[in-house]
Amino acid sequence: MWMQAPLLFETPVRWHAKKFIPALLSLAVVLAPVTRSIAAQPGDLTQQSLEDLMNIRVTSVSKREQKMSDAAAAIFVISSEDIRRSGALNIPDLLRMVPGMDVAQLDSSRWAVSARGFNGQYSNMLLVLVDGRTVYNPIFAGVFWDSQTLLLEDIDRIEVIRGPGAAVWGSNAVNGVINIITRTTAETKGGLVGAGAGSSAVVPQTARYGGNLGKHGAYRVFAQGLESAQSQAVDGTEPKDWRLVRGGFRTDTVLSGRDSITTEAEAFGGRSGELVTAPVSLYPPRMADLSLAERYSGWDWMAQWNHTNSANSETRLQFYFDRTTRGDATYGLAINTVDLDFQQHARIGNRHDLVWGAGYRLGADNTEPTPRISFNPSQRRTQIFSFFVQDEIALSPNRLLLNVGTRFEHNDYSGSSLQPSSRLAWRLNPTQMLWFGISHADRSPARSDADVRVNYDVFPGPQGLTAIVGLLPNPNPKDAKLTAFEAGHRGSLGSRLSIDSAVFFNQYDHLTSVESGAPFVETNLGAPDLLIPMYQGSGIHGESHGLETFANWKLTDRLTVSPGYSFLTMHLHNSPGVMDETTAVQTQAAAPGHKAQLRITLAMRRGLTWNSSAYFVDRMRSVAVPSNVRLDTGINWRAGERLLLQIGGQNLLNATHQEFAGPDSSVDPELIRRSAYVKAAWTF
Amino acid sequence: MKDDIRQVLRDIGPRIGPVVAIFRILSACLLLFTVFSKPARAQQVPDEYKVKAAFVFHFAQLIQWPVTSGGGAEPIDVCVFSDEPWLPELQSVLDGKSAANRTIRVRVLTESQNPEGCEVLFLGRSQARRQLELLRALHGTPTLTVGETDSFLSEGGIIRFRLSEDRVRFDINLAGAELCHLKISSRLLLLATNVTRTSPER
Repeated sequence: MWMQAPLLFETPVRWHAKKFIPALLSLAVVLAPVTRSIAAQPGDLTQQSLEDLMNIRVTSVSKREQKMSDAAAAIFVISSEDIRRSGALNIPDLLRMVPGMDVAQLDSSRWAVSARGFNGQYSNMLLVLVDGRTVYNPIFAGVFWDSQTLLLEDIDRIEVIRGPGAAVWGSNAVNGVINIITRTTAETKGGLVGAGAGSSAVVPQTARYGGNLGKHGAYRVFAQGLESAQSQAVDGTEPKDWRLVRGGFRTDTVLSGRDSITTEAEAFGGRSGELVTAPVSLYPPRMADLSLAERYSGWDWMAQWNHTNSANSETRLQFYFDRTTRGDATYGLAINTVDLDFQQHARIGNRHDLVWGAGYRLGADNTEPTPRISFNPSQRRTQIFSFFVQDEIALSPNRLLLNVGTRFEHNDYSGSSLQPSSRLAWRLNPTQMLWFGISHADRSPARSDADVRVNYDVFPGPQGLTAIVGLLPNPNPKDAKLTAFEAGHRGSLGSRLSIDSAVFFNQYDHLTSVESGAPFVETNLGAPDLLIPMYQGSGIHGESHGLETFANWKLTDRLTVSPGYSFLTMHLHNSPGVMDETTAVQTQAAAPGHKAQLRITLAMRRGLTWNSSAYFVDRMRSVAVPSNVRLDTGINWRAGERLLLQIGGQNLLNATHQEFAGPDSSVDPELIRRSAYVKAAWTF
Repeated sequence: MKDDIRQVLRDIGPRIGPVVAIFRILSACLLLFTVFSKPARAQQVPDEYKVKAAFVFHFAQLIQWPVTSGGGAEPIDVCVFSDEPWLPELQSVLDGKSAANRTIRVRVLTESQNPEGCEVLFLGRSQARRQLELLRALHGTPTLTVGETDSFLSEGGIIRFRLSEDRVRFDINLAGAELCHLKISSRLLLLATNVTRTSPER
């Protein structure tokens, strides 16, 4: 499959003309004059008047290089320009461009996203934040991507840190942090209407309006709706749909030269169809293949106060409330979260750049027991206290920067923990940098570890008893622990080629294990039943190591080529005394060994941009998902100042392909279909 | 491959009638547009720092430095620290250009060098850590300081760039300019988004 990728190296003209049907030929004709002018030099900008210069839109590639150039971590920043060009219609698809990320689509609305292994629908070692608000679900310990449908047009950037970030970001930032930052309202004044359609790709319809709020502030309001066309189940049964509406606002107000306040609120509601095989009744035992709708809704409100104490010190106080409800016929839950967070950033002398902060989070949930999933207790309040401090010390100014920090955190399940980190950035010269890091991170237990009971299978047992294959909670949940050793290089060769590489060695302990035990008669479920128990424990440990590398090569002012490659090996083992035959084997086999990607962006004349990306993902051995190459391509046309048109195709190489199957998914996986979409965004 | 594409078109054809229609119309429009429009000058998205460099060129034309012993014929030195990642872009646009009958020379400073005798000092975001210190050292000397961080003007800088909807804008701190004996033309002041009179924090 991978052998087809070199096609991309040919010019787009030949590629289209050779391979596409005549209906597409017109595009090739459009591209033809463009490829000729690739080498054309830009005009002398100094000959343009100031007024003209002020009307030029600029790319801020350097902003990324700037931000990244000092960080002693494997950071990748997806800029708003990348978002616009990629043609991605949702956040998981955007994350595919990050080397080393595992992104697999399960069905039209569900994704498994992770970094450095352990991928699954409920992959629980990745922390995701939207403007500082965590969207990690504290019951299932994971992120539900079906409800994280932000307006991509309003995202300023997505910072992705692979590897542990717990010292600053907090627990669950074990294998990575995804930090989504939306644009300030000062940047989104005016209106935007976005509409589109796709064959099986889901194109959100969006509207946004922003303006001034008093003399010193600005606001924006937005609304979004999406409705999927239908995807196809593996066995060809009923298709599943995805519908969602979302709306909200953001305000930014400058109170004085020193103070500013940001507030954000949003509400959403949606449903995702799913196919689930689950028990519908215990007495008598009955299993059914259910075609269900998972419904979810929520709202949140956040306020952030930024204060500048002096030129060398800033503080931030943030509060948010978040309510999420989610459920189908086989489970139901509602969670209220209150979070308060304080941070101070201070430069002390010439050598110290200090950040410290403290946080408190209260989660209160209510779950509804069903024959399939129940929690004991059904309602629970959990609290997290945390404190962190981090100092960046200029050992030799602008040459050697040492970053040391630690976080103290206390949670109700596993008590207190310390998550230290130390990182060193070493600038060899203005263009080359090496970095090293040793850090420790924890995943704190969630309700799905400590309190959950899942009945996977029920059937008539001996003597008229109901036999249940059931997952029992971990009686003594522990933090899953990671110690990571990382190193990386970042550099540029000339002004056109930049390279970024990272290697890591991770040591894990207390990962979740599942052991089956001897059947016994259980009497606490109302009527006696024969339970075939599966005990959750913390009995897996192991290592992983890998490499991630990518380059950004501006071949000409118009043509950029970005290749990337990553490699991962995991060795997981049972701890002494643990008899778990599947978890370690399945987890390591579900992590693709090799991944590679190639993205090409060609800025053409008259506001046209052509963007193509090819992603190769190695097979997942144990779960029989073959390797696949995903090819997406699209053209953006900025038709004047106000209109942006996009057409594109996704998964072009195969009519259908499967991206994921694994132990960690609650729905039956689907085949992801080839798809085409059109999209228009009009600003006014 | 060919069969695959045929197959997908067959598969999706009936489902996405409107999409195909729009696609065809679009393609036709694009085709017409290409065939019937004259090849215009290449219009592309320039790099942020090339545009900022062009702004600096205009600043050099619209700002008067106090007359020095050289009689005002010596080159205008635009100083930049060597670790700025956009240094090549700046050099490609500015070096050797002439503004107000003076040649512009991009002078690259090493990190330990003092920005003395520079007509313009452009401090990128990567200098934020020592920006205040540099600006204090330049206090009262005839150097036009150009920067990018939010605190640049309050720390004593004179012109700050910022981006608004991907376009370059700038703010001017008039008090800073006066302290440095620089005369800013009214044309430049008119084009600035904000003109402030912040005295540097002491």
